[in-house]
Amino acid sequence: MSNTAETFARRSLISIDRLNRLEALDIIAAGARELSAPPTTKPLKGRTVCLAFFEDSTRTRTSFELAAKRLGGDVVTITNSGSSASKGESFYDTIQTLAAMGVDLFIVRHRAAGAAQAVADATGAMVVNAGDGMHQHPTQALLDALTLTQHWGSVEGKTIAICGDIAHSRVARSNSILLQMLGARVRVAAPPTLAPRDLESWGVTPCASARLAAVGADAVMALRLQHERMRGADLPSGRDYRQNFGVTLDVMAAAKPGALVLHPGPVNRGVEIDDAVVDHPDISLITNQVEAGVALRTGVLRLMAERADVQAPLTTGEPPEATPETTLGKSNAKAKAKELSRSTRISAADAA
Amino acid sequence: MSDMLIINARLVDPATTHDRMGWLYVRNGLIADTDEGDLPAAGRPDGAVIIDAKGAVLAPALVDVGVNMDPTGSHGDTWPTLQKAAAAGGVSTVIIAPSAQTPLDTPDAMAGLISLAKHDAGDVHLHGLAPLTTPWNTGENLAELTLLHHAGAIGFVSSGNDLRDLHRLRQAMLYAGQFNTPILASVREPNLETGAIAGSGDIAHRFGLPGAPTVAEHIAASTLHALAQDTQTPLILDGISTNAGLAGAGLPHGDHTAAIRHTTSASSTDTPAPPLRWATPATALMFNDIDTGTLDPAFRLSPPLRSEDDRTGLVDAVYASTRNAIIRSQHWAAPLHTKRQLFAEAAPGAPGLETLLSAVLSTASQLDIALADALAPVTTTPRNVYDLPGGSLKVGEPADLVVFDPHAPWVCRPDALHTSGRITPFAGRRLLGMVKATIIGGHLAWDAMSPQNQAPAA
Repeated sequence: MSNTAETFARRSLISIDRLNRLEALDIIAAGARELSAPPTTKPLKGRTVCLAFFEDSTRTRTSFELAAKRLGGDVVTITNSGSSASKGESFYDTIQTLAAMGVDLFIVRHRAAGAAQAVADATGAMVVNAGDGMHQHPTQALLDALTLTQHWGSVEGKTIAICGDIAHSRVARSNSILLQMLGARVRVAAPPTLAPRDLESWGVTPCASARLAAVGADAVMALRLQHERMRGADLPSGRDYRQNFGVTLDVMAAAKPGALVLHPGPVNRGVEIDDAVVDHPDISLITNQVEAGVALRTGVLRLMAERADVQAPLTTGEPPEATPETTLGKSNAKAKAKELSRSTRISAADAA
Repeated sequence: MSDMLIINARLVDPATTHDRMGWLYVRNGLIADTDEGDLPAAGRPDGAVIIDAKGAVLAPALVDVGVNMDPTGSHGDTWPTLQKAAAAGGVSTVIIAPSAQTPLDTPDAMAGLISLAKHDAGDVHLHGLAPLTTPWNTGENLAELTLLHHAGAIGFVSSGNDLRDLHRLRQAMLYAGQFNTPILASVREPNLETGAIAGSGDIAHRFGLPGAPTVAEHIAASTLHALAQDTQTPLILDGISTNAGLAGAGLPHGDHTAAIRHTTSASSTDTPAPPLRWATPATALMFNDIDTGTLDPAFRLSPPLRSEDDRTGLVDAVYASTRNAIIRSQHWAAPLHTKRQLFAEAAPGAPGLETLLSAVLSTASQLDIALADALAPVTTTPRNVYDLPGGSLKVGEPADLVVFDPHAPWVCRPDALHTSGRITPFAGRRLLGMVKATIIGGHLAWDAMSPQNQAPAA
């Protein structure tokens, strides 16, 4: 089934690889409008938006919260600590409970891949994936593309180097797909312990160091090294990583003059990127990314709210746009989930 | 430094396998010219000192891989004693291994070791190997391999302990693979060899010594070999001492007691696997477990001494694959107080720089092989593996040479050794092969005829 959509009109944004180029450009354009001439309508007025952040995040959560509130939404937030997840409630039960309370739009972050899709299948609500495991973080890639587009007009024909823990990065996955979709060339540099085995299939060019990846590049993106990776089996230390893969002034000197620098944040200064590069007045786009983030998320939520059918999902029989490949999407997923939940309670009662 | 013309020499070149009488001219630290015959056609070059080898062998000097030292002198040779021992043994190049006392696991320690050689007067070439993981006894983390390589480490070492966590070991090999330098990986399996002080067998059984089963070596060797192929990392399987170990590595071997069918499966990857190299200590080629039965702590070694079948299997294997096998001395000047103990309580290890050449010649004499091939495991092979210059008698190569009489006997007297280590399994043994001179970088680093170096008469 080919995707011939010319604008983004979906009820969910789960993964970059489900979008086509025109949909992606449409979302980026919506973000650009929020930056230059933000519309004043509030299409989420009267709707409930739930930030379901099962994995910690301050900047992404705040960014989405601001976006939802700008569009007039009633925002509720659940986080991992203090939620019933810590009491042992299953993920599905938590989501069903929230859906039953009348959530229209879920923004989901979870340490397991597939979480956002599971929410879409189980509830029929609108869903935006704010990061599922190491799989995808679509709005990050879109805001990165928006940031670069604001500078260049287009990323087509540009060369972008991504340096960092590629293997464990949903940002790397989303960005690799999106940038190539938009006509850019992507290089990646990661130590062998942090590089996925199937890197060739991503269409990117693997490089043995940040410097080699940066040669003649138009932009360099540094990814955050997680602290738990910095010792033990994957890496000896932050400084050992930095020797070959840190984005330093020396690395930027190999890139095209005026090459730009990005980082999704939060930054480990002196590890994956040096202070002098983070704070460089001419080339660092890191704070621009934050601004673009709120704009992009406002833009995509606006598109979803205005174009998708925003009927309350509990009144519909079939969850719309259920993806055929998921088991849950094959039939009335909601009813099935309720059925399973109830039967578990019955058998527990029997055992008692 | 004066130029020298060595005449009446039996020129033996392991790189070309040439073996002929001739002369060799050293100029400015390099081999300037060489040919068969009595003298160069143009006569003696100006300013060159004549050295008459009197029919002795002239060959590339030895390389000893994985030598232990302690710059403070408390737990091993200092650099001055190590240098003397090396030069006396015909060794021009020592590659220092990390140890519990000298872990070499930080870039500053590695840089310090390397600059030590530059500032202390002496000729012997010094290189350092860094550990793959740190700290030495537990290996919980990867060592800072990038920085260590940057500081000058020419390779890495994996102790048997790394086999305790195969995920971490695999990650370490992947990370080390960035630098394309070899990993000297010990085949001492940590779980099966726990508490072992001897090789498992009749002797160990009779004396009640906890023995290391040979299958341990098989398992370690095959695990490391498989990981090396999987990660495409250049590996040297270190400390092979048994037929079981040879079998685990996929090398030619004799029968081994563990009834394991070993099939060497060709790798199905498109890129060819890096060649398998292996290293064995000279002691494993020279001694067997009967020597353990004396309970003399001089024979407390790691790997422990094995059966005669294993020893002969090992000797055959070394010379079936001269270009892949390295013989090393495992030199350690163990302090007297660590060795003058009961066998079970003595530290394993012994000095070996000054007996390495004799051990190699003695081993080779048991087989019908050419001297040029006999010397390969201590000259050309280690240099090729570590990409070091020299190892041949070709014009342009560094003048790192040894002159020795392969037939001259000598008795190893511990008090006459130049290393600070005094307890050696070679003590009192009549050995074949006496070093007459060692030339390093065109300098006469050791001269047996010099009064202070007179060796005791055989």
